[in-house]
Amino acid sequence: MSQLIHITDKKGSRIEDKPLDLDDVRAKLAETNGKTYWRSLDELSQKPGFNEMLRREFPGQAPKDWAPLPRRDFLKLMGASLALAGLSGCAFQPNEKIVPYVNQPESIVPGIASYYATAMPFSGYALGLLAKSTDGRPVKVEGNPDHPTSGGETPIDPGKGKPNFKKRGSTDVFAQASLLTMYDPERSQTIRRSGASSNWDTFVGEITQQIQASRRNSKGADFAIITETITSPTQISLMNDLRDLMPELRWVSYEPVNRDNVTAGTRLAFGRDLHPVYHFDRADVIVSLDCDFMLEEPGRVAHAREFIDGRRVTDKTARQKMNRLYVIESTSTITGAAADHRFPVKAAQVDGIARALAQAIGVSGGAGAQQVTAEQNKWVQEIANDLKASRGRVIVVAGANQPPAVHALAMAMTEGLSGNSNNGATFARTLPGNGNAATITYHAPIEGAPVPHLAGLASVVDEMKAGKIKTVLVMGTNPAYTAPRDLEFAKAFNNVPFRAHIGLYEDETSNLCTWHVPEAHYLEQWSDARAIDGTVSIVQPIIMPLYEACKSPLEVLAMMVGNVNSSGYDIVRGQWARTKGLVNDGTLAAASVQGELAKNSTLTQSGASGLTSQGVNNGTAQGLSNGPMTGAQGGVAANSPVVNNAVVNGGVATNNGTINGGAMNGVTPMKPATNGATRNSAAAIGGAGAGASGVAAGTPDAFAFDRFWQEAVHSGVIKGTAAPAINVTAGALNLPAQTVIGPGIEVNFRPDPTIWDGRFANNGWLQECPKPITKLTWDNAILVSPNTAHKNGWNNDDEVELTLNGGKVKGAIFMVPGQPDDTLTLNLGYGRAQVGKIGTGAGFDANQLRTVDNPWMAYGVKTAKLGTVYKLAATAHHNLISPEGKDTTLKDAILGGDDAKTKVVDDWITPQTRGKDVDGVHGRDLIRSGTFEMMQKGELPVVPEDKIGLPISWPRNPNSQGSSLPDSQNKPARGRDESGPIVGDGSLADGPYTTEEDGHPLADNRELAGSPSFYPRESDYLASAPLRSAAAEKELEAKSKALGRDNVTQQWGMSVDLQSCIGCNACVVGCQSENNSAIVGKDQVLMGREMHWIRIDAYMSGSYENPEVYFEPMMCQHCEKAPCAPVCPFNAVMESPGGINEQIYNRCVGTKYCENNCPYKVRRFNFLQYSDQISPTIQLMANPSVTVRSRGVMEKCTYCIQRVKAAEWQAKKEDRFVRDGDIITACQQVCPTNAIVFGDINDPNSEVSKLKRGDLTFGILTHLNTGPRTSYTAKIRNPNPALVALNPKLYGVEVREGEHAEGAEHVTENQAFVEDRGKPKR
Amino acid sequence: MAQLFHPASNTLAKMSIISGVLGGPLLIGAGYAINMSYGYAVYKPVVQPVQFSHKHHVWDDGIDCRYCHTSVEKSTSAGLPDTHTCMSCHSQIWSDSPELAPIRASYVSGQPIEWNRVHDLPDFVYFNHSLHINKGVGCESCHGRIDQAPLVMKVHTFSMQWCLDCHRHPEKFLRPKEAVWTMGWTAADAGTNPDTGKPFTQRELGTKLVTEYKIGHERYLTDCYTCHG
Repeated sequence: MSQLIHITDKKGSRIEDKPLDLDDVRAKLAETNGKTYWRSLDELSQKPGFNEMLRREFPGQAPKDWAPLPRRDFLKLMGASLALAGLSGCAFQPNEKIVPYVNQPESIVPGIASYYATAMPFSGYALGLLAKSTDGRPVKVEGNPDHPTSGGETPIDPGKGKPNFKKRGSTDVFAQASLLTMYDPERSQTIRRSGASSNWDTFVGEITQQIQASRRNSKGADFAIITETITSPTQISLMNDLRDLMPELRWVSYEPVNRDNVTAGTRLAFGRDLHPVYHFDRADVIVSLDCDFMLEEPGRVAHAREFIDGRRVTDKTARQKMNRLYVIESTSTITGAAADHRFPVKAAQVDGIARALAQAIGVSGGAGAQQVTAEQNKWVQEIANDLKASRGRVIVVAGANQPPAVHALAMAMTEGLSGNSNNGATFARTLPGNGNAATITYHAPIEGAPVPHLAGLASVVDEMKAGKIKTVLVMGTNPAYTAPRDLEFAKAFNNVPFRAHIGLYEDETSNLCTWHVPEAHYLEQWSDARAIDGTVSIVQPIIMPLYEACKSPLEVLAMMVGNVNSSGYDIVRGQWARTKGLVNDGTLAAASVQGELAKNSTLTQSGASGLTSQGVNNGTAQGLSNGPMTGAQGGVAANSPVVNNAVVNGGVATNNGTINGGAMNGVTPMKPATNGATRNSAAAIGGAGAGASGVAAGTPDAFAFDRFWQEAVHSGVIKGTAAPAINVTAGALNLPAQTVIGPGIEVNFRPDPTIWDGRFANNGWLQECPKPITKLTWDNAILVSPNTAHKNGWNNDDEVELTLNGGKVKGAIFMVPGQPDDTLTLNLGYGRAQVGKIGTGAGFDANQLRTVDNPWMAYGVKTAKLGTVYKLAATAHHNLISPEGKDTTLKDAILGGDDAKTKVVDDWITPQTRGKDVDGVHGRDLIRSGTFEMMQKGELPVVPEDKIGLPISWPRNPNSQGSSLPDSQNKPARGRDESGPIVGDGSLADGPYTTEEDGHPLADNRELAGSPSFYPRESDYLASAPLRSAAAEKELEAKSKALGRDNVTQQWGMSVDLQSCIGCNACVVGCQSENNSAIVGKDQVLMGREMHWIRIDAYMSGSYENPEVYFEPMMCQHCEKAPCAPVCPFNAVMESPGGINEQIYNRCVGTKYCENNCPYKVRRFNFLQYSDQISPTIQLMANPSVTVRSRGVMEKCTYCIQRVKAAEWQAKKEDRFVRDGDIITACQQVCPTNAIVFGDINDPNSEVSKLKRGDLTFGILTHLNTGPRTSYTAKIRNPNPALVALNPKLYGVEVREGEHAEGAEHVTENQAFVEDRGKPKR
Repeated sequence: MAQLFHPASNTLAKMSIISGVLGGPLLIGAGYAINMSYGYAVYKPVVQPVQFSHKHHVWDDGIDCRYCHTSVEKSTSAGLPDTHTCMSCHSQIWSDSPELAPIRASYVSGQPIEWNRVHDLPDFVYFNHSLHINKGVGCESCHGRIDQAPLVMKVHTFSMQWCLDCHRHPEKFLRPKEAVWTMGWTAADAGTNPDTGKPFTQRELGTKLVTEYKIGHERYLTDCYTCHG
């Protein structure tokens, strides 16, 4: 039980840790009938400590560790505590200041946040964002609805008249956490020369000398620049300017996770470098060849949205067709978890399977597939049949870790099945919504340095070793850590006389450098970047750089081409002015190079890449009539009505001069849209270069460009810059030899799902965010299948030394269900040698085992068990919910397992279900799942009994399916006073509320839906009101008024779609960012004290070799009859009139009774002072609308009360109801797949109401009569019937008991499922 | 045996009875006064960098509240004027007054003036100015006769109890929206109550306005998350 912490039983004696018995697990799995859901292997094995873990809220609090306190000490301590406690109430408020602006910008209203469009470049590719700025500091990032990656409209159920979601942006886990990186107190803050602080001017002097020397000596051949992936048109243009200075300049991009294999694949398939873009919404059958396209590929947000759009089902009649995903993968990923069929294979086997698949489809290049077993061949054939049946609407996609041949095959298969294989390219490739639109479009590469990353780096390293390179500038990347070990980067690097580094952190590479310049974060700099489809976004700063020394890469490059102190704003705007063909722009003059440098080629870059639709006026640009504009022209500008369109507010809040001094010059607010007209336009446009304002004002071009620029900055997207699709024709494939499957154990390298390649190693939010499948925090591990671990005698947490290719690492073992046997997966990004406090000491450095020749998979690893143990902090066991709440948690807790009493409790605990056939699987499980086929037959995985006690308040008609209550119980509770909603007198005479055991109050909730309650059931009041037409609304209002209430009759609720949840964790970090949740550190996570308000429980079902995975987001359920409320002795848990379960921090004294009594285990206690209230930058980051929680206080999800309140305030001011969609909770907002919907459950037309009325809605633990306001919709898979029939065992379809004697007759999953309904689970 | 008690004891006894009766309330009153001014800092002027007089600007000059507190109708915060607002007049009048030196210094240097907060709610209270203004709570109801205050000070405790007094019985304080800015307003200013034919009383008007402005029931106005959370 190594994953469990030291568990003690009730008497305080330690429950001994025993290794996992795999045979036992297997036997237990074999015993199960129908579907069983489990969260980990330990749970399956039912080890002794496990039930204790399940039963106890704080299993880590070992009483035996408490030393007995002498009486005198106790009295002394208590005396002091009492005295101090008395004093603590007497604190006076500190004297506070109000600091108004000196010159308040019009667009800034104190207390109202502004939103600015920007974009986050991640590995070069942009994700469009709207950054929320409060008093000039960014406090949250959200997706930009207008951006092709993060935005997009998403229908719930297309084509059935179902509601459409409002257009809004979503984000991923990295974007959410990037905010913390900006405010990281350990970010690099000073320019350093050999470790000592230095300054910009000295750096400029030295590097200029290097450039001059390099030009003289070798035309730049001894000058190397290593960057991360660059798609920024401006940066590429500057690099080209630099190349004009130094034609032989060595420029390579290097990131350890790159798209080398994809590009090489296009070269094999189509004979040229191309950039494929996937359109998953156009595909009916998707085959992933080891590709985690929803997490590991750029464009992950769009991929997830499009994929889920093709399969969202909330109603049995809603959808005629559902897409199907096959995943063939070498480790457990979230894409595999979303799959309808998942096949775990070794990474090296994927090549053979791809060839076999191609052969089965009839695509050339597939012939001669070897090493595919007969069993594999069976399902390969079935996949091929399915693909062929959906000709024209298929995608085969390969992972970045697969060799080029697999990519080429995947592309050839997609093209071959495009329905028009001879001329596949001539489809209306870019027409969305067109049934014939291509599922993969190909575009010219959008990366700036198209050299393959690894090969490029290797060639530069060779030159370094040979002493040919005299100067190296590393920008934003960290090759000293990320380069494969056998490249010996550090050794070669030290060979270079002049080494400089520009980065966010002082890291392994900067340690080797003479010079280090701190890089400005993307929220602090002007830049631009392309999205996955080529669309350009302007990266707009939300704040001045926190540290004066920070420089953006653009500023550094501009300096190197001769513009020492040009601002990022001038550079980006100047670039676009040139791109747009504007000649006389003053900012261009400032940003341009000396006359001699301005060659034609400087301006042709973007034209050459063929991506910019706008003509590039390279002929005239270097005319460079830089002179100041005439007065007459300036005058025109000032008086021109056109100029008044400008919405720039120059000089926003620059008066403070402090870091919270406000937004950047020239920042354009997203809201209000264009009402900032006439503001300082001419002066502001120039920004810092205002001296050159009025620039080119005389020409109409300038006005047009101004408008273009304002719009581009305002909306965050430059329209029409998406890369045009290129017609491609797949020729005959000439593939290299098939990947050889080596003997023994295979080692795979994958980017880490949270800290990626190590760039987020110092980001606490990401470090503590449980990784999607493994639920590991703070570490990487040697991921291995249970069988392989068993075979090698490894157990979780055992330290094992891996020796491979001369490299050696030591890591802890972690067993992952679904991992293929005889493979190890190592995540990159850990084992950092030089990083801040957060990242130091976490995990091991997998780069030490990578090689240049095969950076993704390797054979020949030697393993040695060291006999030591390294504790991994996995949260899979934390906050376990007993799936049969009454049986283990509640009953055991109340009765201590006394069978006789249990019988009695059984009778009263579910009288509604007594006598009905629901005491088996149904009505108990935490997950409901079914298949699409079953749905179409009308067999739902959710039965009406599942909705008992679930507030689906509209319509409250007992005869309809959405009914939650029997008729008799729908009547108003007794004792209700018309003038106020308090129900009953709350005394025990109303019914049994608490029992006593061991002196602790426990709510037993034996009262049932509709019986008296402490808390008002607002929705009951309106049960008889008609649907809310305009007239009805009036009536409703009148009713409300009669009851003495205002328009807060809206009742808030949430619906979570298990079908749409892909487990990406964006909501976890988004919630943390919105609600200022603390990180607690690995030690505290080990004790189960993580503070996330929302967690994503991963349930597995089926065999542990290849389980089906179900993600279930779990947050406070906002029970109408919350078990946490009556047990609080201080009334710190309240129910709001809108049905929100309120935690009143000021009343909370930390008894933790509420947490003890919460069956969902969603309450979080601040055992220590976790939140950082000291670091100044962290204070700047905090959302001011959320109350501070300190030590000793319980906290939990509030349904984002601050967002609810903001909408309610606005509605009250306008005398109306809150409109549907006005409130978007933080988790809902970030979700790429719209899995979470929030709204008024009293409004029959709200999205949430419609979802809750859907056929697949169920509540969790509703039989405990909690009345949760959060409901879930079931997970529906779409398995291929042919494959299910092929191997029913694999899909959890069991041979039924009793049929053994008559011979093993397989039944389909559906039959088994239906027939199992009502049978005992175990 | 000599008298145990001197005749003066009679007086003493009477005095102690009287002081017992009078002293109790006196003590309580003194405690209240100390509490108000000390615990809640009521009636305690706060020293400011510039001794700004609302009396002069509002009572004498008739400047509207919203001229300076620009965001009071639309934001949680009423807003304090920026230096430019001060200088819009004081570059013309009193332009060399020594009292205004800090304003001019701020204007020149770009360094904002740091005012001391007078009405300081705890950070866990989420008070919304705009909502109160829009629902007919006058400036005066919380800030008193600010138009006659040479120096700003609290005239109410701003304690939770005080907030709840109004949230429980808003009809005692509400006024028509257009009278929100009016100082010294009384219900009678609202005209004649058509029902009674007499001038409105606060109770009559308040009850009417509670309905008209859809003011929530006590259950809603006193819900914890109305102000906290």
